[in-house]
Amino acid sequence: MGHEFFHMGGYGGYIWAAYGLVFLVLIALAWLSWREQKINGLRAEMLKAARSRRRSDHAEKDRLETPS
Amino acid sequence: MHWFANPARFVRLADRILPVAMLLCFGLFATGLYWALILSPADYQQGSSVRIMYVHVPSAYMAMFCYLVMAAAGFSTLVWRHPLADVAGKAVAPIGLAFTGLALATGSLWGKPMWGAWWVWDARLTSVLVLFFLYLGYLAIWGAFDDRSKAARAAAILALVGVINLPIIKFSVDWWTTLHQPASLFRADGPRIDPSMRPPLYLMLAAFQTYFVVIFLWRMKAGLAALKLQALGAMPSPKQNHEQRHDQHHEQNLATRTEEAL
Amino acid sequence: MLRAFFILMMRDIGLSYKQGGAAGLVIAFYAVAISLFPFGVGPDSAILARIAGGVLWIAALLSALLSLDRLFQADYEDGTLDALALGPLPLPLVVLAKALAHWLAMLLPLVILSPLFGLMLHLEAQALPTLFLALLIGTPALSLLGAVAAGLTVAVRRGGALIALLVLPLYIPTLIFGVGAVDAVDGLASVSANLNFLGGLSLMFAVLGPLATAGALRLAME
Repeated sequence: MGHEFFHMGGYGGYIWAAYGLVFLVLIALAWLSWREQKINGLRAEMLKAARSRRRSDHAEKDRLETPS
Repeated sequence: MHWFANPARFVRLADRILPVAMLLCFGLFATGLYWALILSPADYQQGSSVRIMYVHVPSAYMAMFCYLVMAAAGFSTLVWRHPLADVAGKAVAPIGLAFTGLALATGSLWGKPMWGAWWVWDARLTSVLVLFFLYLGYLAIWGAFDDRSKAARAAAILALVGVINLPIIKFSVDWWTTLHQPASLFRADGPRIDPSMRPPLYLMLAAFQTYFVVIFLWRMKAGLAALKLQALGAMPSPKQNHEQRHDQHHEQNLATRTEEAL
Repeated sequence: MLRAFFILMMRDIGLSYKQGGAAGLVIAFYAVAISLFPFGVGPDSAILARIAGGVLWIAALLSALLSLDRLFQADYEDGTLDALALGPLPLPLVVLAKALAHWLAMLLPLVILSPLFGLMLHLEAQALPTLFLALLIGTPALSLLGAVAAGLTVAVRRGGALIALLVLPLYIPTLIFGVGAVDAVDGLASVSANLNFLGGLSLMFAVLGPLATAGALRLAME
């Protein structure tokens, strides 16, 4: 079966090129999309964390400076 | 205030769907490929080259499906101004472009042994080529505007103009050429391909469809996170409730801007 | 309202022929583009006659394209468009008036000249009336669809190349039925069917084009 599987009755070149191309493109698109959502998600979370930390610092300072 | 309530819920839903869809996608591809490449018989006329159909037809189908999703997203952008719709349109276009390119490439690889030429101006191949150009135009519009919401609406108008034109283009291209094979799967009188070829074809269609779900959700998450990043640069934390945000909006806006300036 | 429509249309036609207007250039481009084809494919009259319909139609498409980026540009930049949007005429009708003016000023002269160029390309004499009629019925669709792309790109820097990418794929049906009508004269296909489809396209885009363009212009003017 091994040889015939790759040979595909003479159409092996076309078939494997087609399947190879499809999976190359699908995997590349998947990888790019996955990476983008990961990076954007992480950056959004880091920025949010930094913001809220800074804000609570400010609030702390305000409280100490103007005791009411 | 709906701005962030809705996307957050969407991301939670996406995170719940994604693992299931990924598992399904792998399973469908594994069985589909096994069936398409090993189990299924060779065509009595086309020989083994018919196996290209199992990736070509799903690619072409997804190319059209993605355009319909894009047009639907455009419609809700224009009619309801739904913030998720802008992101959806931008998320789906590159997927559609990739599938359209694959449909063209696999069609060409199928055409060489069947028609003896890498490219034939056959009605379906030509329609897919036009679809490819429409995707390029849509993405170019997204790239041409600096203002995100304007880009979204301009792209939405283009997508709707395109979707109205698609049947006309299809019809005119069919009219133009009589050299094409009749569409064999989605016919009014039912599929005409050999019954033994149906299971792998349907399996591969399902595999491509679940692949689309996975990639679409990833791209939606990426787009929503990018929106959030943009918003965090100029707006207070979305966690705050509406009244607080309204009071503090102005001074915090000022604060962030000075922060950035320093 | 009808008066406002006509005044606007006449103003645009007048501007196209004033100094700096593009109408003359477009006609010259049409002539030059067509005369390039014999150099490209050779002077053999049989070949030229065979491709004449397609050559004339594609030259008309490109000529229409050439003048589209100026359709709203000047009025958008000097604020006239904002004034028009607030005027008595609804924005879709403003678009329709400007698209009609574009057709009358830029494309109608090409249509009138086309039998002459048909003769130069050895198109059969009996096909000339059909060529003229097909262009007359079909070219309004070029202006109306072109307006959509011009509206979408009016706020974009260097929108000219973008217009081409947006609009040329949408011109394909018009091209197919337009050339189909000319080719059908000596063939088996029906001339009138092709002309009917051309008229249908022009009518359909006369309704849909201005609506889509008005939406595009509104977002550009925000």
